[in-house]
Amino acid sequence: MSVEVLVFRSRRAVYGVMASQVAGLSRRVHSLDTEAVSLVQAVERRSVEDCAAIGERLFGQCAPLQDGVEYLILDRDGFGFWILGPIELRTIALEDFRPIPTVISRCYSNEALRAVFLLDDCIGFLVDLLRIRMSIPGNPLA
Amino acid sequence: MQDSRSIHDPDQLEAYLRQRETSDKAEYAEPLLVRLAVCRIGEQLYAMPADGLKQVCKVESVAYVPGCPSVIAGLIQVGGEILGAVDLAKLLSVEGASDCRKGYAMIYEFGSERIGLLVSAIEEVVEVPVDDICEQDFDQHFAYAVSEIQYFDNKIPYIDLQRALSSLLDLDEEMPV
Repeated sequence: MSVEVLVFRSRRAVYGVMASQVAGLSRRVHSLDTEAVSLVQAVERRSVEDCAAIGERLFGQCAPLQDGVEYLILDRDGFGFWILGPIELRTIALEDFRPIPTVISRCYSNEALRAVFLLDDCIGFLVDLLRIRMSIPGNPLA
Repeated sequence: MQDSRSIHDPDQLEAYLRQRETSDKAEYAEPLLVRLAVCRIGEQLYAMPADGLKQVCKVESVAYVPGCPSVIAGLIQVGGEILGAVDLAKLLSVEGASDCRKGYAMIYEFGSERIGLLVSAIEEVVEVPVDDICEQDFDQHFAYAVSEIQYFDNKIPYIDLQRALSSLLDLDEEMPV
C-alpha cells in the first residue's frame, strides 16, 4: 500500500501534503491569488526569509536549489496556499511513514504535522492541509 | 565484673561466628561497579549512565522540526528508524558547543521510546566503583549534574539523565541507572 504525496522543500525541511487533500495545483498568478498564504510560513510560523537564512547554514543538504516558481495549492474547500517549487508528486510506501517520535510530539506546538516519512535519504513531514488552515488566525474558512 | 564483649554460651558464639562471616564477606567483596559513558560536549567531558545506551552512531544529518524548542535538535535516521534527537549542548547550556549536530548520537532506550542524544564525541565506556561517584553541589549551570567522577586526572560531571530528560519524556517506565 502507498500514499500519493505532493512533496516540496523549504530551506529547512522537506514537507509533503497528501494528494487526496489537494483539489487543485497551478502556477501562482500574483494578481489573482492575494488570498493565498505561504504554506511553509504557516507550518514554520516565522518569516520565510528568516527560515531561509538559518536553514541554508544548517541544513543545506536537504534543500536543493528551488526553481523560484511559485505554485498555488487549493484544498478541498478552495483555500489557497502558495509554495515555492519544485514540487514532486511521489508515491510513498506506507512502511516509509512513521509516527512522530514521542520526544518531538511532546514538545512541538504544531498539530498540522501528522507523520514523518523517509524519502531519498531525507526525513519529511506530512502536513495536514485541513489542520494548518484551522491554525491560521483570522481565516474565515477555519 | 563481666565483659560485655565476652561470650558465655554457645548461642552467643554461633551468633558471633555468623556476624564475623558476614563482615569478612563485606570486607573482601568486589567493589560495586557502575558502567558510564564518557562523552565530550564542546570542550567539556561528561559522564552518563551506559546501561540504557544501545548504540552510538555518527550524525549524518538532522531534520529540522518546526515549532520545537531549541533543545530538540530534530529527527535523525538510524538504521531505517526515525528518532527524535536532543541537543545535549543546549539542554546542559554548554557554551561554544555548536558542533553537536555534526558529532555523534548516543541512542538510549527509555521503555519503548528510543531517543538520540547529540554530543560532540564519545570518549569511552568505563566501569567505575560506585564509591568513586561523589555527590557535589554544582551551580545552576550544571543543573542536571548531581555528582562527579574521577576520570584520569580530572573530575567530570555525572549527568542525571532521568532528571535531564524528565520534561521531554514520560519517564514512568524504568530508567537506566
